[in-house]
Amino acid sequence: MLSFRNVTKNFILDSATTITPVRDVTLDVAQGEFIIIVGRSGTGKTTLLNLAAGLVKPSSGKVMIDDSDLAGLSDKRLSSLRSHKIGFIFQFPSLLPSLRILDNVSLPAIFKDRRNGANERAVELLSTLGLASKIGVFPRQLSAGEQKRVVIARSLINQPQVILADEPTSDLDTRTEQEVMDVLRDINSRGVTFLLVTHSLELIPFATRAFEMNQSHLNQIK
Amino acid sequence: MQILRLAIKSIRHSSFRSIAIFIAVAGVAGFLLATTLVIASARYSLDSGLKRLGADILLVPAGTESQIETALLMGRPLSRWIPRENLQKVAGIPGVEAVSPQIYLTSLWRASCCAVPEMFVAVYDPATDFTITPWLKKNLGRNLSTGEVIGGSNIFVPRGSQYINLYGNNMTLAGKLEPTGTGIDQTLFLTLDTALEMAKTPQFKAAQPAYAKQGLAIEDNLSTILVRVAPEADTHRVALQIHEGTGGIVVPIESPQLFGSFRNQMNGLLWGFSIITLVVWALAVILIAFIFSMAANERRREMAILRAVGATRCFILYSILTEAALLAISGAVIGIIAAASGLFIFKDMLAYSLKIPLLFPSIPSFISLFSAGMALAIISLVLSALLPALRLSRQDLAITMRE
Repeated sequence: MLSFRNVTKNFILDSATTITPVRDVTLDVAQGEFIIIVGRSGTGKTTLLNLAAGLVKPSSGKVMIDDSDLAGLSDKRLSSLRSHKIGFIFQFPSLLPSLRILDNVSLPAIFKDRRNGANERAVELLSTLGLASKIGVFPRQLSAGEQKRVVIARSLINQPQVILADEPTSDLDTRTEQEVMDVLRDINSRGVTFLLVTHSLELIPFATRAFEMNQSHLNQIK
Repeated sequence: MQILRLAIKSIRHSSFRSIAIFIAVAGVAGFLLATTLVIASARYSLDSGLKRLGADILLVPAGTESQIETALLMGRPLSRWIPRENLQKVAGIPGVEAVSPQIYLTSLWRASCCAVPEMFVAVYDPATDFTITPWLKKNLGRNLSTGEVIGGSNIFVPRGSQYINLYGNNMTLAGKLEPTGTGIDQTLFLTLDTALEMAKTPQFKAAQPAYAKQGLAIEDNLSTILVRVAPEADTHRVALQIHEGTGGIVVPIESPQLFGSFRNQMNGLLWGFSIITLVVWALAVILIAFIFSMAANERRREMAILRAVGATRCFILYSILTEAALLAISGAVIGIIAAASGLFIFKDMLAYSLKIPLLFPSIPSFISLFSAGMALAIISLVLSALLPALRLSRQDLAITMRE
């Protein structure tokens, strides 16, 4: 359902400096897979996820979701594709500070025209993730682990086909990391595809396939 | 609808920023409305006053041309008179359709019958009058009898009394004229017969030393002569003929030129206000654009997240502009209402202290001013927010997310 075909991404910093975080990557991800990409900081993992979400366009090659070449889509169609098919878990705190937890979780539903019942779905997801008592609070009132779980709930609100997770367990203690990974594995068991990037080799056992990103290239390690 | 909800939540969340923008918009909109309303009220007042006079040419004693504006606008008597024989001379000039004299007596300070500190007394001749008499016929269906008076809109019968006491004479207030915002509103109009009766009292003689000392009879010494020109005649030509025909004893002031110096003063004031308003408006727009620009920098990641979860560029643009429009509408409404209420409450005090006549324009004119103020506030704020909003909607998401 998600495929990279000889994808290269260059960033031109100035007339003399160009960096290439992703070079000639080819990867096919099937529905229901749990792909983990590990690598040190700065090896291009996040750029690969941004390419998968259409947030950046490849310098060469193609990124496709269900046979749609993301580079060829208009802003409107790309936004629609993101809201219908993709869930995003960011590395950094990504909840909107002006919205309560319930509104944060149901937010993506407004871009999918699925506002009806969105709050009920959000409550259900937050309950599943053990946050039923936090629906009326603001993000600043939650711990880092709780915020991560809220972001996971938000990524699921539109019942996406694929979830792109960028370091979902960074900054979390071991116990919370285990809790978050259990949640993700549970979601994956219901058929949702995962493409997860992390620097933590300890997460590899959760993957159906794992790759290492090294010098802009992708090498399968599991 | 979703954009509106998000915008409201964002405004509430960023309360300091929102309050700063709100105050700036309210201040500018209020200042703009207040200055425009003062100028419009003064002009409306002058027009209403002129309409009330109903004369094409006003004749005043030579040397009192500048005093007549103050006399009519603020209710002050003139210091010189026109000998009565000039009335017949003027009436005989070709093109003159009707002439009517008026006599302005002294102002009364803190009269018990007035809503304003001073009351002005004007005497008219019912036999020739075309200013008060048509109003009387329309509203009372009769002329005034001796002892009856007509008042401007600020004149009233003192509480606990049936009469207005004037120099020891009890006068019956038969009716009140519509407001004009000028000295006419604080003027008591008497017929010549009533004035002659009043002039016999010792109180009048004591209060009017000029008449008493010089042995003048009030009916022979006119303050102004109101002239109505025949429809086919040229007003300017008639005015020149009057000046020549009276040997320069009277100075004709054509109706459009009446209050001319005052209008010039108002125009100067308008220019001054316009420049100040323009500067204040420009500074406010720059300040608000600066605040929005800072806010846009703070919210880059927030907007990138929205884009990543499915928002289009248009959604980002519209949500920022909706925030700006909401702040503009709320700020402008409060600013305009506060300014209008303040002017309404302190109108008389303002008119008295600035020495300008003020009459609020009609409701439709006020609605136009209100709408113009609102439109200006919304356009200004949306323009201030447009560049930061465009920048946010077109930002490089990958770079923003890395920051």
